[in-house]
Amino acid sequence: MTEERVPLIELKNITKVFPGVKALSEVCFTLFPGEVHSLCGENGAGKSTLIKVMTGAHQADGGEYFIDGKPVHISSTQEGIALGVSCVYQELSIAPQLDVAKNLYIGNLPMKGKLIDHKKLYHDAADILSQLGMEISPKTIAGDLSVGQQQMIEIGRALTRNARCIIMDEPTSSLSEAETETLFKIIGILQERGIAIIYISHKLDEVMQLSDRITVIRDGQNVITMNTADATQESLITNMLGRALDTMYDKQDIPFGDTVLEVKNLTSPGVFEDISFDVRAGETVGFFGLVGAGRSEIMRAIFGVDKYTEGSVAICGKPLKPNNPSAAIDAGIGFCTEDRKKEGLMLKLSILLNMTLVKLPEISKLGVIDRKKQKQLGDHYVNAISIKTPSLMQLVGNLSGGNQQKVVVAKWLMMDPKLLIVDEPTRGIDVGSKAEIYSLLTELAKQGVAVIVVSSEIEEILGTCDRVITICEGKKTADYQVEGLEPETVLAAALGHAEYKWEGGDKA
Amino acid sequence: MKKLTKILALVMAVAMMLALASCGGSSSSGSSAAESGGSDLSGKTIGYVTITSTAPWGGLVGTEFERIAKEKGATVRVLDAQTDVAKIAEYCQQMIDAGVDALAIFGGDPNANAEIAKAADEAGVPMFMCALDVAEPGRQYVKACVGPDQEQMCYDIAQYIIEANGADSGMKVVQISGVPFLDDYIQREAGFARAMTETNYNVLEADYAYSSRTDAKTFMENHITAEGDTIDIVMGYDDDLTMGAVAAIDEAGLTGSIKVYSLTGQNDAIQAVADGKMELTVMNRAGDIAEETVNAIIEYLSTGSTEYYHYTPLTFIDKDNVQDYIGKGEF
Amino acid sequence: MIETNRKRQMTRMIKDNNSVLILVALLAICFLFVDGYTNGFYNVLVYSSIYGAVCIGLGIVMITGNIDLSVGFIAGVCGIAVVIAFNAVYAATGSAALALVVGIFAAFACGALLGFINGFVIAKVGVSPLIATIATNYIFKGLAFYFAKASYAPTSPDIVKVFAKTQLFGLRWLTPSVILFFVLIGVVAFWMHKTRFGNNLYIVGDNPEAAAFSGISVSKTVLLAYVICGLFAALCGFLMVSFDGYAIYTQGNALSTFPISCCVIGGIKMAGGKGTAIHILLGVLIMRAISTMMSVLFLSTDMVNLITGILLIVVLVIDRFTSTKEAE
Repeated sequence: MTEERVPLIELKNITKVFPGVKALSEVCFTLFPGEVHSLCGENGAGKSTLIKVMTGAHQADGGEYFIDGKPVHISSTQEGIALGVSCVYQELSIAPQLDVAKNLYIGNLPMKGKLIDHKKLYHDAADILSQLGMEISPKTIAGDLSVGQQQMIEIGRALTRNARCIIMDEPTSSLSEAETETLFKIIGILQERGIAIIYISHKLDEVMQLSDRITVIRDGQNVITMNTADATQESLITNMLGRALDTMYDKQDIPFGDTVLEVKNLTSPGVFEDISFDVRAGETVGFFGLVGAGRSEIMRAIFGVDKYTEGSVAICGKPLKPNNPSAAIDAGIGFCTEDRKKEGLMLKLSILLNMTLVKLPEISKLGVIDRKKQKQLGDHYVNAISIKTPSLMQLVGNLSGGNQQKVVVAKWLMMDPKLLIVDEPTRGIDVGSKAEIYSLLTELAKQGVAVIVVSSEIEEILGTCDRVITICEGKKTADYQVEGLEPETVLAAALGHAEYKWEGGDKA
Repeated sequence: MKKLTKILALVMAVAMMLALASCGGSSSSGSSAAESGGSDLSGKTIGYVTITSTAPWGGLVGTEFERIAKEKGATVRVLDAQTDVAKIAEYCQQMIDAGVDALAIFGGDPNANAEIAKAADEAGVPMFMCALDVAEPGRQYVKACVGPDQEQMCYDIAQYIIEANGADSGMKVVQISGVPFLDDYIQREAGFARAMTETNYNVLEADYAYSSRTDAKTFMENHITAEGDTIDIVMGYDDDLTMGAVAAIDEAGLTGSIKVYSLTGQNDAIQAVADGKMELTVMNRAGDIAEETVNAIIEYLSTGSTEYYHYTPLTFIDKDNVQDYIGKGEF
Repeated sequence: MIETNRKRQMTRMIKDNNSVLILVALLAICFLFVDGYTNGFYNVLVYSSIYGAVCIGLGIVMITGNIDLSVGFIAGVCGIAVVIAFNAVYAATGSAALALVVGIFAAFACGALLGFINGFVIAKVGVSPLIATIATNYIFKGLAFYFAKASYAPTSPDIVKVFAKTQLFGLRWLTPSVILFFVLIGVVAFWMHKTRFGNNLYIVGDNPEAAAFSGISVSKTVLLAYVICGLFAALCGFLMVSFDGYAIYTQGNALSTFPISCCVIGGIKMAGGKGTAIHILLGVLIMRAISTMMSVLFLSTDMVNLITGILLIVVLVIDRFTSTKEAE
């Protein structure tokens, strides 16, 4: 159709082998200047390895690498950056105590002879910031910025290195809606400047919205490269998984039992106000709202990690002592936190230990752990929720996101909870694992567990829950039945514009 | 909670500093009201710098000095260098700056103290050494050195040994000493050696246990292992160390076949003499040194001069008179 | 948004520079309430200039997020090296000036070597800095002991003592070492701010991963930081010999907790990435002011120990609560 364009980057038949596993096998990839090209695939499919070969962190064992049509051999990330290939990782590398300018030009400070040229530094930094449309002073301390802004700084850093290709790995996972919009705007600006973007994300709707082309990788091999115009989410998922995913969500009709959780007028000044709701056995209630609305804080208060000043919580009719997680656990509440790596898991310890953590007092006599029982439990749950691992002693830090999340869930399942709260259960998890977690939640509900799902993804809520409660700026704005509910209504309520008055009860 | 704790920490810091400032000067002198009975030092400020106040004998010198000087009406300022030799110099300088009427030093390095003596002299502050003399170049600046005649003391101990054992008996002698560069040990060993020239004894080189009884015991054990019962005599230059050797001898079952001679006059050593585990100890009272130092200071301040060496008395304790002294040691 | 930024900046400024307030308050209290302080005040400047050198070196290491508990004995060993070299050269040539020069070189050579040992074990081998420097502290202590059980004086001390003992213009508190100290602070401040390497120190301390990603060799930076620390410790060792007139194995004792307390109270954060040479200067002055106050008041041993201990804890607590880095 168009004239022959020389691709900015071209990878031909790239192969990369690690001890015991062939990570990439004859993979081909092209990238044109000014295009947004998404890379999709399940965790472990080979995306990160491919990226690392592109940036120079790894060297391919076979195949050829061309930039602007000329063959290159990149042996370090420094060389990659010099050639114009930069990557913005999920784990931000910002120096929080230095200012923005120094972060932008980290390791690359403008010099006048042997000394740093501070004048040029701040001048150039201001320039980059205005290019990114950011209205902050280059002297701002980086630690004071929001996560989204810090990410912009990382992109800015790539610009200071005259990047021609910027790779973004799960850039929106910690961003608010507003920040995501800003990011998309900037991607547009970069495109106009002829910079190519490689976009990696599990959020398929973003992929569909942003990219010009999509490449799907599976098991270290190319599956397909298509123009986004010709793609659909279903076809993407099918390609990623190698099979059709009939139902992502597994909602079933489950009869509800007695009220398990009763929250009345819960208040924590400045955080949330006058929250009241019930959840019955077998019911799955979703909590939706914007980032920072206060949903996680409400859950943390119910579980006892945070304080509340007014109101009450009751489990199965019995009042629950506030600010006391032990009491909450004894009463039968399980809590899978928002940030599993930081609050839910000990990454340097084994799967077995992590899973049986809360159960340990029950399987110990006089402080000595009953190892046999521990292993039994471990084996049972690993099978029950199909955690993919060669052994129970594998370090949790080595597992994929999806499997890590399963370990967290298993930890609470072992306690036979009456109420399970899951906060952002599928954040950063690939499509296949997502489906597995959803069916796990349905199983739990079938067994009579009351489930609360806190999520920022409307589809997820509508797909898994029976009811959805919206929180806006710490206040409950709506309590809808999911059946027949339109996403727009939920969003409106979360934004505080509940056109429809919410019914105080009316559970099926 | 975080904010509260932070404020608390800052308040604590400030309060502490204010408390210190307000109690300025009242820390070590207690009542400087002149006690009746010889107010020879009334109105005078005496500085006392010590290498340590926790060792039994050394610490006692200090506490006695302070007590006696206060009885005489003086204000006593004490600074403890806590085994740090460099701090002695700093504290002495502090004393000199504060304009004390006399400065007494216990312990430290003889060369370093010689420097200090010079500085004190230049500033017009008379300096007095307790138990330990300065290095030779500094003696012109020091007003008096108070303590036993270390050299003579050990010569006399050696004579005692010779009398008891005969000059030609070819005894094998183990020496357990303390700190190799401290003047008192140097003098003691010199005195002992001087007497030994008149004998045919086989005197082994001294082991330096510094201030550790445990090390002294180890040295003795090693000797016993290496030389067994060919050892006849142990000369210990400090009761505290010698008691370690005594323990080693006792455990090896060689009590009686090895004769132990020592000095200082500690209670456990006196008891050892009574029990037959030690032949002799020589009492060298810290209190005597403290008292004599105060006397030297008084003499200097009132007459403008005093003798350089003020020797303190020594008491030889052996099985003949030990019963009079049991429990009478200073510690 | 701009409002909160301003407020945040103000709070940050106070948190970072609380040492200025502490010093001013402290000196006010001391001069007003403590008898004889004016007399003993010269101590603060003179001793600061001698012991302060080692704090500069330690501060540099701390900015990279590491620590060095062996600086005291590096200084001690270097001081001994000065005397050994001096005496040897003086005996051989009779020239005190030459002996002095060689002595100083010997000190720096020693300092660089010992600093390199620390840096190598920590940066290249990867041992935790706390454990490593506790261990090297013992090693260096042993070295010091081996070479100088008794005091070891230069055979022609006057020329050596020039640096710390001459009172310029008859002013008790103005010795060449004081001038040198302030000049060094200025030079180091400039160097940390204006040079690439100086900036790298901060980056490595703040976020070593970010540093590595941007092409800065973390291990090389840290190694050099320790070598520099060793050099400053050497300077301190030399100045101690200059002041005391001799070297002795216990010289390192005085510097066990002093440098750390100085740096932390001055505003060098334990977490790294923060603090300037001025902070180190303030810290040294504060610590010496307190030390001098304690001796002017003739406080008893127990009080001194108690205060030193409490002070260290208070200082660390203040550090924890004024740390603007999101810890952990």
